[in-house]
Amino acid sequence: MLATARGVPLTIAPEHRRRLLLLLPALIFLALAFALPLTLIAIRSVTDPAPGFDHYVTIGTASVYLRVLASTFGLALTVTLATVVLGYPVAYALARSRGAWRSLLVALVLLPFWTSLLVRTYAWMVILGRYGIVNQVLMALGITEEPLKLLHTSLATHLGMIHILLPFLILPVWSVMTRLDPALTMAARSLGASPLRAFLRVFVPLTLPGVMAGAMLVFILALGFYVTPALLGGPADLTLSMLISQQVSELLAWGFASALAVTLLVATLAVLALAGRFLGLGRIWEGLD
Amino acid sequence: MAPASGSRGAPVRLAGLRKDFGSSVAVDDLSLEVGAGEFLTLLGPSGSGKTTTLLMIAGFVAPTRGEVYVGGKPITRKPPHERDIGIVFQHYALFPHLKVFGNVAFPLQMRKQPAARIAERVAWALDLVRLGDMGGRYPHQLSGGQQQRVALARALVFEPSLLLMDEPLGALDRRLRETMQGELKRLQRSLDLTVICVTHDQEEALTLSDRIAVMNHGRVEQLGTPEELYERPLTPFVAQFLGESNALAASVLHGGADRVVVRTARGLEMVAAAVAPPGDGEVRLSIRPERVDFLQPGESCDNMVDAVIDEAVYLGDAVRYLLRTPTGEMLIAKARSAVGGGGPRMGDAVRIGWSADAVMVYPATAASIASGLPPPTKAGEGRGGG
Ligand SMILES: Nc1ncnc2c1ncn2[C@@H]1O[C@H](COP(=O)(O)OP(=O)(O)OP(=O)(O)O)[C@@H](O)[C@H]1O
Ligand SMILES: [Mg+2]
Repeated sequence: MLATARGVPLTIAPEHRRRLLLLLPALIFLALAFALPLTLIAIRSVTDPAPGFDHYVTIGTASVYLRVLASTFGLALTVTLATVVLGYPVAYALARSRGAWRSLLVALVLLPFWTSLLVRTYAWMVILGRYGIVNQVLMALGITEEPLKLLHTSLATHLGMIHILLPFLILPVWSVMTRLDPALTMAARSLGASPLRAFLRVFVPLTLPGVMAGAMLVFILALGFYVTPALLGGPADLTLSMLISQQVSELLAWGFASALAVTLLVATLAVLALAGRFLGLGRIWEGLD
Repeated sequence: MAPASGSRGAPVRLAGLRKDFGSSVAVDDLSLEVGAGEFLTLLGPSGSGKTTTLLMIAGFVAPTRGEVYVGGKPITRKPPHERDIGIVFQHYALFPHLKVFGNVAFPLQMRKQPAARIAERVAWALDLVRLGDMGGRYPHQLSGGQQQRVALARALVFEPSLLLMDEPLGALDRRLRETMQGELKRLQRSLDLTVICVTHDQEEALTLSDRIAVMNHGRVEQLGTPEELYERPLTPFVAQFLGESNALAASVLHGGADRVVVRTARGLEMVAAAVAPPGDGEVRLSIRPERVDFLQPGESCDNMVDAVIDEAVYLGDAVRYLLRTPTGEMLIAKARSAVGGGGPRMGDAVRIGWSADAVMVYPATAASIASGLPPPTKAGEGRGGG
């Protein structure tokens, strides 16, 4: 057992030491593949091409970078809200379903989850393209003469990201819902609550930790999303990750790209810290396990 | 207790209630009446349909057939929230996101009562269960017994016409359970509540109930006061389920108007103050261990036999003996523990006896205790048949 009282040296019991040993390969991998490159990037952001904080000053003062940062956050926020609105009822249906229905619903949620992100993004390109399914249907119905511009728009980015991130919201919410004691809603009903009021006053508040967990996951993933906005979005929908990629592959500005990456990381951590402060991080992890 | 209002327990009638789950019958043609202000317990082994019955009364399970009346009105087709029935759930089902006050206020808020009235009623209900100063705590900050009381206050605050409880004390330790039994009884009496309580704890049933319905396989095996059930069980099942019982298979040797002589498979003969049941003469016997006495030399009794003490278990207030007769019959006897620890010991040869009216005689076909339940006697003979 870990001795945590103040003044007592921190000793690790043999059985815990053995368990730590099991963690070792993962820790080594994380150190080599994650911590090391991250440190190198952080160092590069203040040394390349010359030592100093010039890059950060640029990011903080040139309005274009702040605007990209803001629109990245805006996109992540909208996508998160949309997944909550769309995902909560799906999780509810999953939690209430039995037998064959349940298997079908689980498959519907998980199948896209197991499909490559790139494939799903290309699927959206096919659907939304100039002569894609949507436009063909619209023209066949005579709703529009000319094909509409759907691809390479902000709408396409949103659609693609919501679709891809939806399972990350549904799964934690579903998990919390199935663990909720059914006696709680029964109690509410016996105490005089109609089905709707029992849902709103008892079920929803008690499944909120799951929503928070899922929303946080979606938000953080959305902040760093690259492939989908790059392929589906238009030139106006520049996200921070696209900007970073641009700096590296087109301008070979490794130092500036590193500074942008560090900015994204710090912003993400800040959101996590805020969430932990106001929503209770413990409750979020609770929802995730 | 400020604004306690008048009597509110309503009479309840279950008429031919039945519930099928697929091809299995959970509750089978259940009919019974509960008087206003009566405490009725549904007692029975696991799977006997107690919870299903309760859920049908509460409205969470739709009966396949039959009708539930509360206060003379049929409520079978009303949704749960319009039934005005208080329920205490086994694990209390307190709302973890609401404080004690919010939990107890919940039913009043659902009834759209004004805030002042709510505050007054909640204070009344919390005083009732002696938790007046706990309103500001969350359920997880309370002990098990306190949570139980909050659940009770919440179920009573809206003055329901009927209170249902499913294993209300099952999650508490023994000592706390006894305290709560006392409180529950006090509350039920002083508020004149109609209570239907589910338990498989026979001691709890005996302590709390005005009447007990012993259930088995979805049917009521016997309905009566605790005393009736204990002293005059109608079936071997009831005799074994309520208290301990020596269960023996026997055949009738000869029967009279009010006496019958029987012999067990191992050849133990005895006389019973009973009428021989119709049939082929095969019967089941049941004898309470506390009716089996140790005889002093010269003392005599309707039924007497020599025995050796195989086992003696000290229970505090009593000693439980396992006795072996010369023919190999095993009998349980229970005696008050003697002052200073005297009394027969393991290995002692003793003479035991029991009166004719201690022997209850049932037809051999009578339902016996459900399998899966530990037999109350080690006498293998008791388990045959049924
Ligand atoms: N929802 C259900 N679906 C199918 N069968 C059920 C359902 N609920 C109960 N049963 C069955 O009905 C029978 C009675 O169950 P019930 O829960 O009423 O028993 P109980 O007397 O409350 O038992 P316990 O003491 O274990 O709580 C059991 O055989 C059970 O398996
Ligand atoms: Mg039950």
